Amino acid sequence: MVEPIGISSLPNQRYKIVTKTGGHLTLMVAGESGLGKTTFINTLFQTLLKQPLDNRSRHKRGIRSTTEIEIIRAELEEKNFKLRVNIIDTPGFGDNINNKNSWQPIVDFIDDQHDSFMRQEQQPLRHAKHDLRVHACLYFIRPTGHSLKPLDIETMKKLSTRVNLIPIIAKSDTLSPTETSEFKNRIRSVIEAQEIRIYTPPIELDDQASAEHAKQLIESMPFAIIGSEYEYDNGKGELVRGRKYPWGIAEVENETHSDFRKLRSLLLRTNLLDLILSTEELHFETYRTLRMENNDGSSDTQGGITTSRKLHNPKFKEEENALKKFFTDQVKAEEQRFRQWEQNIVNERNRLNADLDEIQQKVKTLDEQVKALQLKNKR
Amino acid sequence: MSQSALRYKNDAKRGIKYTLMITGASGTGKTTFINSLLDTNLLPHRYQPIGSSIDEPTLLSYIGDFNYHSREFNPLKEYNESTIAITSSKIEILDDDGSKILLNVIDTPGFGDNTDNEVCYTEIVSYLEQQFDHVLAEETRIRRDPKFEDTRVHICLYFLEPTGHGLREIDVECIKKMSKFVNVLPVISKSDSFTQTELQGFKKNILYDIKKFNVPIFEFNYDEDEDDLETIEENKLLRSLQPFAIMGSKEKYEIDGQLKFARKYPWGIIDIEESSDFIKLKNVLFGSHLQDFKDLTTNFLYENYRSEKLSSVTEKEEEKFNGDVSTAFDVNNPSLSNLAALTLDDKHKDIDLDNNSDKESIRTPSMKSTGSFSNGPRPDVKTSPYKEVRDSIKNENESIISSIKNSPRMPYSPEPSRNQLRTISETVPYVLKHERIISRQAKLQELEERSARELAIRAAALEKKAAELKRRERMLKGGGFGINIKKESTSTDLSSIINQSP
Repeated sequence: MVEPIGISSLPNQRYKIVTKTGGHLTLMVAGESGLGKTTFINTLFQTLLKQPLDNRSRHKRGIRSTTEIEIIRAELEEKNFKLRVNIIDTPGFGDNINNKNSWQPIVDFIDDQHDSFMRQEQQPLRHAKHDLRVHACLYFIRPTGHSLKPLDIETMKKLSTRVNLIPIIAKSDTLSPTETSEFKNRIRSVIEAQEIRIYTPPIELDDQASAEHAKQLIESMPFAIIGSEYEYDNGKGELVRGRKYPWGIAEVENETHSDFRKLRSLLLRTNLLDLILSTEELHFETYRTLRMENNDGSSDTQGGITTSRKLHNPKFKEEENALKKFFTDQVKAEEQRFRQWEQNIVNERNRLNADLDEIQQKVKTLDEQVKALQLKNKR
Repeated sequence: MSQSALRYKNDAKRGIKYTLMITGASGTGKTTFINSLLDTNLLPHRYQPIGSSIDEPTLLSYIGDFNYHSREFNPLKEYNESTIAITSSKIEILDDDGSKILLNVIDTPGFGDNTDNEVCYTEIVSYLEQQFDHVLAEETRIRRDPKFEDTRVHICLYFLEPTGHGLREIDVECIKKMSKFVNVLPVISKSDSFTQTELQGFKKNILYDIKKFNVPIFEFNYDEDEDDLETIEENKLLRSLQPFAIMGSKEKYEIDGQLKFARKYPWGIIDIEESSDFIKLKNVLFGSHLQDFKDLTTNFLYENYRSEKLSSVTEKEEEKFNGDVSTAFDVNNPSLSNLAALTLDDKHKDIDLDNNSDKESIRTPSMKSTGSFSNGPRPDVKTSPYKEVRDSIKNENESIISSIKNSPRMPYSPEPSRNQLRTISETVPYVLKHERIISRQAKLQELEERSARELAIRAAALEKKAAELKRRERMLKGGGFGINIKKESTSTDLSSIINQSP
């Protein structure tokens, strides 16, 4: 027997290195508030990564809120393998009456991460790179049973060119199976018609099983999911994650109840590496190319673009216009008031003049009467 | 027997007219709920073909290119800002005790679908106000239309999204604006997404928000001294339940041998009547509080609106005719505020109405034309026909008002006052209507002006630039020559001035 040279043990060496350094994943959750984003994150990693906002803090913030960006860092360990997870939450998105441009902070955040990573790469010393590029963005869709709203479409369009977009139907325990399939069909056709590019797992033709699995995943997009932080006894003596209703337990990990397992498989078990690589190769590269072309290769305007982008934020523009309008209105109102005053004064003067005339007239007539009487007296 | 009970009985014979409005973000199950509530297919679902409901709802008003009647699902069009429509569907309900309810359901498809949802509630509020105006106009008329239909909305169910957090900005704004015109009863829709504890928490949050933001909603009030024990108990219970948590279903399933509306999930079947406040809400809507809703609308909300509206009209006039303030407060003087009482006195005197119809025929075409304007394509910015139309309406309005005021102000002769009264009763409806049109036109005009202003600014900037360029060009061409000319001209100017001055 010939001893192998040792090339085939290369994967094993790689394996060792990777286990030592650990992995790294950045996940973004976007969607209107009240769709269970926080709960989903906690369900996905099976720990309390993020405390749900309690109502007091919500009140403190006031009802008129803008989209914010929140970053949660955590380190997960399973079988001695460490995964550093960054969760990016977007509280406040879609909360207002006018949601125009409420996607802007999200898009800006993604671009900023690409930008900062690019600049770090250009530094002479680039060992400790701080990387917050978003590997996957979960977009939560409200389970209306109708279709996507214009706000959803617009936001998804903006996101899909920058990041791996995975649309999911939140709180799907309010839709019965027939309603769910109808809703899914509508969403799929809208996504297709509006040319929104969502993330699809690659189908490897040489591996029958994984190709089959990928196909299944693609078919069940957008995933309809349920989230829960609690575990209940499902009647068979097993403790399952689920939502306990008077009419039964909706199980999170039950394939007939929700697509949660499929989504987890896509996010963590089978396609995690692909998500990271496609971010690196596709989205970051596109951004880099665009930037380089715009900059003509010169790196001295590094700070310039970010600041100028901030200035061009349409939200500020709107505010500015509103302020200007307010100012002109105010001035107009004041002018109007002054004019009114003037008018009043003129009227008053006229009236007084008229009164004066009248009184003079009276005096005259009285005078004449006096004269007449005096004449009479004399006679 | 008290009077209200008597009236109720009378009403019951003819059928009680009852208007119910449903609003709330689309996709919260409004249509499904109404259909389950009435056990018919009264309202069509989104994307349901025509003919799927028992009667096609009548479209009352809409904004934007809302194509209500082709409800087909078109993925390409979904991106367009779908806007808001207000529709009405009528149905007769026979109660157990033989009384009949003529129910009018006002639906607001498209609410909350837009990126900017301000238009939604302004449209709804203006619809509600319009109904009040119609009634006000009818009340002040001398000869009333026997077929006049009171379309005031008695109760509005506001569907809250089942977020589990609390009220959202749009909920607060919308309920606040609407509550001036209608009783608002917030309900939690799709309550099957909450577990027992979550639902309690959500209700608590909502009540907290309602208190914090001073949102006026319908409250189940009771009088400890006057009401009987049963009513007090009932209202107490209802109060503790508010906001009602409800759900609806399109399908019926068999539960305990009975066919009932239910929702079937892989993890169980929900009987919507058992597991939510469905039955209680139904009782409130069609039983215990039906008359309360009606009374509150007509006696409280409408009266408030009426006095506010009429006093605002009279105030305006008083401002204009500041000179005779002393006479304005004369008791016998028919001002608009005591108009209704006067009309009632004068109603039986027969008055020739020929004039009236003439006036109407003159005025209607002008109004029609304004209506077509607002729907028509956007005309050129420079001509601004809106303004003309607006001004013409305004002038007309003012002339009407001034004719009321100028027409003999002699409080002691009965003859002219009657005439005057007639003019008032004719004009008030028109004034109200016109005011509405004016406000709409003003909005349009404002938009137009804004764009015009922007254009003007841009044009001015361009012109400035052009002038600058020309000047520079001349400078380059002329060099020192230009300065010479200037000097000369100034000197001649000076000399001419000197010549003229002595």
